[in-house]
Amino acid sequence: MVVESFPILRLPSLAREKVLKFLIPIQVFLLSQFSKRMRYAVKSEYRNTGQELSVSVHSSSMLICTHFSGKITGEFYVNEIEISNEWGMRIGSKSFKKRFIRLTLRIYNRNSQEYTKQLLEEFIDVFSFPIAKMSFSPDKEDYKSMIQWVNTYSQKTQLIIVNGPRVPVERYFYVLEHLESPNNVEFQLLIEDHDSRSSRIPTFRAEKIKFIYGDFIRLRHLKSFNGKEYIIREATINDKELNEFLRGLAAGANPNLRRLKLERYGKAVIDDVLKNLRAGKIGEYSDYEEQWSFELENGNQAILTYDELLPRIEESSIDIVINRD
Amino acid sequence: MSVENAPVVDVDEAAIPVEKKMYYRFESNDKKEFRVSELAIQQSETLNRLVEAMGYTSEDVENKPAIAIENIDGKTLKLVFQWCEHHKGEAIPVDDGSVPKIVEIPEFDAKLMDIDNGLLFKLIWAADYLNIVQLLNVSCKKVANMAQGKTPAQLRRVYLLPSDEEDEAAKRAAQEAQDPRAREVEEEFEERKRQGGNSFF
Repeated sequence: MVVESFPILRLPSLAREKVLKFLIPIQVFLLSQFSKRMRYAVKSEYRNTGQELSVSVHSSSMLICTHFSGKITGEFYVNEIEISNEWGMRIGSKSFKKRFIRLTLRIYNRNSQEYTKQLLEEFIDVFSFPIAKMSFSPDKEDYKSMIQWVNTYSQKTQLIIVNGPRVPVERYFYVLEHLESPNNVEFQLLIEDHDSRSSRIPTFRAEKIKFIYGDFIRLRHLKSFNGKEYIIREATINDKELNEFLRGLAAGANPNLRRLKLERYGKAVIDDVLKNLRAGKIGEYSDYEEQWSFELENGNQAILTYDELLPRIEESSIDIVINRD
Repeated sequence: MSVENAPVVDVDEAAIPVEKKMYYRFESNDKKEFRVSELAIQQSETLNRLVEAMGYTSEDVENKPAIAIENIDGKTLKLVFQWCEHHKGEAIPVDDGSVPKIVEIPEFDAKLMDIDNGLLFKLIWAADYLNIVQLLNVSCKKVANMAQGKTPAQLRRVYLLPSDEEDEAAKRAAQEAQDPRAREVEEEFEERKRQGGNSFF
């Protein structure tokens, strides 16, 4: 078969930019690897595309996805298990999913984490897309170096997700102590033996902190966060403890906090939650949603919304918004 | 409308209606002349600005020399004007630079671009030079489509991408072609080094 050919490097810059933007990111990335000239062309012309990266790193593999308006435009999968170091996948063949394609980069007999680090560096250098999301699992023994690696991107990553299967509470505390994220962090971890440890819980700083499985979050842990917004699902906090937290808040604790949402809080006795806060009921906004407001010592106002869901009372939530001046 | 029926014509081929609608005359670098309607010219930002600046009347168009387009040949310019005539009056798309670009190649355009890649290259170059946004879009889309279903090795061949070594060699060759004296100086320098000289001067 005769392969048609076209001298893309001899095109005017604007025309080549258009050609590149018609290609899928995998093709553009491959082109950037062929020569310094092509790499330079990609770096200078494949810009402002509105695309974002999401990166998922594991001990033995990494998945980099490119997105546009929430839709995946390409998948780059790095895997050390395969016994080939070839870029073996045929682009656009029928074996790929119809809506996007995946390029598998197989690593053999190499330090996979080093290689994945290099590859991610390469990606960010070639594409200059913002990193919308970076997720990692601290479930393997190399979790310390992985956290160190993630930290190198935390400043420019919008959301860091800590996920994986059950991890020991000590390892979770290590994440809290060492993960540097000024932006959003979401924990999707199950923690082992969280009741057995009584030592100091490290302070954790991030703009927004979210826990999907928050059953190990008790009052002491809640107090250890330092951020603007906490969303915790299924926290093990009762009305009396929540009242203690809110009284501390009214007295000036957690001065940065603007929102605390406790999802799946369960049945709440609001009189107990708001005891000694001189709270006043604002009104009822629906059959099940009620609001109260109370004032902090500095004059700021907090509004507590209790969304009681019946008959699934366990799914009821409490949302506290603090209006800081 | 088929490619064959597009209204662009070489000036000596047919009688041209010149009343009411104004038809401008252009000349390619190989002295082929074309008449193109005012509306079709609007597809090209470059030509549109040019004719506006010239402010020709109908008489000027007929009496003054054809407007020379010095770096596009007749074969390419014919395709360009055929495209402009077919798409005259259509809105010019605004490009926000984002991806993925969604551009369909209409049947007319596909037939128009059923040409060898050498001519396609010239067509893209002309669309870029004359700033014809949608013609540039469809022609670049055709080039992008060449990557469909290709392996990395095939991609390199399709887009004729030289290796770094080949680029270096080509650069050296170009430099030498430009300045043969440079090579002589270099050889002289190497010879002096072999003879043990520490300094060229």
